Amino acid sequence: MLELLLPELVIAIFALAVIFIDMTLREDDKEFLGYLSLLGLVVALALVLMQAKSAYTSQLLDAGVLSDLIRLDLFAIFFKLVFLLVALLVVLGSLDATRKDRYKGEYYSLMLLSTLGMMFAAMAVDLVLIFVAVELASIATFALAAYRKNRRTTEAAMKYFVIGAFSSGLIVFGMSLLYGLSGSTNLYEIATALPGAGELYWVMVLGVVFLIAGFGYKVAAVPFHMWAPDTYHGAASPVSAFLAAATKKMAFVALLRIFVVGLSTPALLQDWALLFGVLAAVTMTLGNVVALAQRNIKRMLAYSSIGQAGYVLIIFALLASEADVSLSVGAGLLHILTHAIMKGGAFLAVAAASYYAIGSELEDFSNLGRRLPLTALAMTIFLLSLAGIPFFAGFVSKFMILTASVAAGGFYLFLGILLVINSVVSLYYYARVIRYMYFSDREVKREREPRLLAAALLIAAFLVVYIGVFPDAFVSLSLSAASSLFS
Amino acid sequence: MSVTVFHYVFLAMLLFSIGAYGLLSARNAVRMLMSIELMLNAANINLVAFSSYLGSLNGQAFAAFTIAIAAAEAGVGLAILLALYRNFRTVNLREIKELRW
Repeated sequence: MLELLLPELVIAIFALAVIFIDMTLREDDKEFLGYLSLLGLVVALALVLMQAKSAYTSQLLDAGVLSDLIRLDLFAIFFKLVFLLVALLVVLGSLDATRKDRYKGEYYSLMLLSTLGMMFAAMAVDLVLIFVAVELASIATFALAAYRKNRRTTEAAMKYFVIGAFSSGLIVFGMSLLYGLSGSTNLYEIATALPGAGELYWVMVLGVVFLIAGFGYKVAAVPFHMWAPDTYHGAASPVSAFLAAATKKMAFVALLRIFVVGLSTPALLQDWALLFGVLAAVTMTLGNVVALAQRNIKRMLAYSSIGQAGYVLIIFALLASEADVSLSVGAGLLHILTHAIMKGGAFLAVAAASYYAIGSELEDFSNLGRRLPLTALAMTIFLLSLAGIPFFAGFVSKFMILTASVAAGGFYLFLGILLVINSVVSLYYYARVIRYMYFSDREVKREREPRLLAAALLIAAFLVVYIGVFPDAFVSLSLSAASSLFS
Repeated sequence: MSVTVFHYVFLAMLLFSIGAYGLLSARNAVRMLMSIELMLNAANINLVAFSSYLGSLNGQAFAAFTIAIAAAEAGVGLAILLALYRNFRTVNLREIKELRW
């Protein structure tokens, strides 16, 4: 039983080791802590890959006495891989990006703790564990957002904290209502115990609305998105990469577990699916349209990340349709994976630029193709992939979401068409960055890329291109991960 | 008139609404922290009331976890607040406009 929690144990031990070893080191030696966290993440990633191999054959790994709390299916393992991959890239990039900063021990330790929370959130099938895991991941990132403690980061962190705490209030209140109605905190028991459409129906709807609003803040869906641009803009770029690529995805895994496993009783399914459909339409449209007006690249990436969250929200609406549920959820999972890599990579590219004190305004990126050719190339790949150009990862996952919505037909087709229109709109603001990077005649000097950041960018760019050119393995992985959620 | 579980839920909803209103209307960041505590504790009332009504202990365990998490959250929140005050010399969030809201 305990060996199934080995990856989490490794992360927990390394997180504690980092913060304790930090006390014994002189300030100059603290770079070692980054390498230590990197080692922990690599070991955990290897262990999860081994789990993935055995889960492929047996579908579900038996969690023994913990099976009321956690469920180690391919779905959970898929998300653990996403979180560990993002954490690995961000820590690798941070080794260069935070070289001149203090408090390295706290930084890496908080990042590992946050990853630990996300990994538990991926496995949890009990409301209590989901809440504790989501909070572990969130509270660690509140502190990370304030890293560097200057005017911008503290303001970003305060906004993030207030909204984050408000959303946890909403989530726990919604969970308390569900517990009262069903008498259990286990999602599978809730699914069977929830009353049908009776006089308590409205209490049930209230609980569902609280949960959607609470997690809506965490995924930055549209009426709940105001914090995201400010926080991603103000926080240090590697932290923004982590927030956009990992923390947001954790909210999606919790949403999927709660709504698909616990709340898909026929009485409720139609209602929340419609709500998610409206949220998806508003979120992707507003995110992409507002992104057009942004002159700051980090803000632009934040709004694009809101728009991309809208694409993923489509699949929640599709659950009520006749379309194959594993196809819909699988499409969402693949988009979560590809978006994590490309958005994380794009923020790391901004971090690479700011290593040479290049700002994040559009004009600052003028002729970046000359100044930092590798960073500019990687950024171009990420932006093209975000826009959904064929032969990049973003195209594959968007195409899959489109396929699922076409299979659903009717009203759902409208969501698919909106997705295509939004992708066309988004091409404009992504291409604008590329134009600034390559077609501008500002005089610049060639600089050497920071090595580890360049390595992180190359890994992410390679993955984006690889998934785009050879998508088969990843599509089938996300499909079987999705079907394991329903079995 | 006896006190039923609905009275507790009503009280919890009232407290939650007060907390949410306080959070949305407050300018002072300390008052925001207090409002957040109110919202989390409203959920605790719900959990404990349901727990005794249903005769299951899950709710009380959940409430214990929520209390611990609220404490951790307040700790981090106050730390951010202090850092904010050192930078801006104020905790009035309306005056802090480095980033566009």
